[in-house]
Amino acid sequence: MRVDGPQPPILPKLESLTLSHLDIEDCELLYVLERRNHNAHLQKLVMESCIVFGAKTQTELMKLVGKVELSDLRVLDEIVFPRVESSLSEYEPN
Amino acid sequence: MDPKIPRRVRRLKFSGTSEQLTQFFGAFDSSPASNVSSIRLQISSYDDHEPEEHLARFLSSSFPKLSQLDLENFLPACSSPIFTTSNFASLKLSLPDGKKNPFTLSQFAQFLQRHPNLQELDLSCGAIPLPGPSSCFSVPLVLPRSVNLRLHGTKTAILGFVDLIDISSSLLGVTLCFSNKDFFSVRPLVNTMKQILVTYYKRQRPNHPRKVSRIKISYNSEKRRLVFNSRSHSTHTSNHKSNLTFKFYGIGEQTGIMTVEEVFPLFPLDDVQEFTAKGWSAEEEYWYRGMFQKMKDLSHLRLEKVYAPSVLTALSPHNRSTSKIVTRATLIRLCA
Repeated sequence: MRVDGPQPPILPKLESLTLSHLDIEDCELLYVLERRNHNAHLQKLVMESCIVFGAKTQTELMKLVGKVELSDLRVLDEIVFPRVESSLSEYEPN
Repeated sequence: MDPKIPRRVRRLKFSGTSEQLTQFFGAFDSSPASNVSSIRLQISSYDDHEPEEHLARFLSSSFPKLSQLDLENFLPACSSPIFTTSNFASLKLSLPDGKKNPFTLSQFAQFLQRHPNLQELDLSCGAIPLPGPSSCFSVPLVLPRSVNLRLHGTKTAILGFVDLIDISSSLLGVTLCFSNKDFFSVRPLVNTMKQILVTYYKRQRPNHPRKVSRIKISYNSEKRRLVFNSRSHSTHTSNHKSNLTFKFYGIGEQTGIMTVEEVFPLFPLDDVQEFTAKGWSAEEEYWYRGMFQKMKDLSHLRLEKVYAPSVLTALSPHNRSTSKIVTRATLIRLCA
């Protein structure tokens, strides 16, 4: 995955992000949640019935998402973790 | 002696086949019903009986306190006393397609002007009066009260009626449901929405600009239904919110996506705080990125059943050209 560097915030006032019935790569999710350069106001993440590629367990996902210090994290319904090789090594916090 | 409506009755509700209603109303006396404030009358199905004459006779009774009228599958003549002697707050009319509407658009405009307290107007199918060849309204009709307007019908009927009413009023909730035989391609659908959006958002009173605070766009692939909903408030009457809803039926998925891509930028996006995308996906992340850049005040984002890589890439702080990157999720989707 090619990374050209940080850009200005896309949604500078984003407080709440809800992902429902999505197929997500764990690293894609973590890029979105990246706080250092954007999403400074993001406090709430809700995931409903998502399929998360990369993370192996819900605990691991919670631990990863916990790194971005959200005040409100809700994982609703079943989150499916397909048994594929983790892609977390591709995630490099800037 | 024919039976009369009991004096104390305030609400009348009848539902049945045309035969049942013919027998029922044929026995009624058309004497004044001084306390009736609400009438709902539904012909569930037509058989060999034509109840119009009996219904018209019943509705020619005097209803001095009538404020709510709901007629399903039947319309009396526009000269009927029920239209001329009442003072409606709520009016719901529906007529099967193919039945002749007794109102012309001009007559309905005159009728609306006689009902200044109207707060809810719901017209379905053949009940929306059609514009005649000479119908031309230089000044849109302003309904003075807070009105919820719901139209369900063909593109021609809805556009004709929208041309009659001033839907830019700051207190108006508008729901427009288009029947499924009008839109086989993107262009007529986009042009229809464009015409209404320009009227709704651009033809505003200068001292009451309308700001959009929430937009929800959803597509249901099973029902082939595309819905746009936006909530607005006037800057001068911030306590009063209004809704604009479009519902299109029989829309193919690709047509729906292309329509969303063209129409979404026509909404005033500067003040949007909540955006929900459900069941449809733009294909390129740059489209999302362009829209997100216009929604600088967006604080709540909900993504449901969308193609995640495009929209998540658009949200990412990094400028990654992922349109050429096949993610694990994409690969599995392609292989499925």
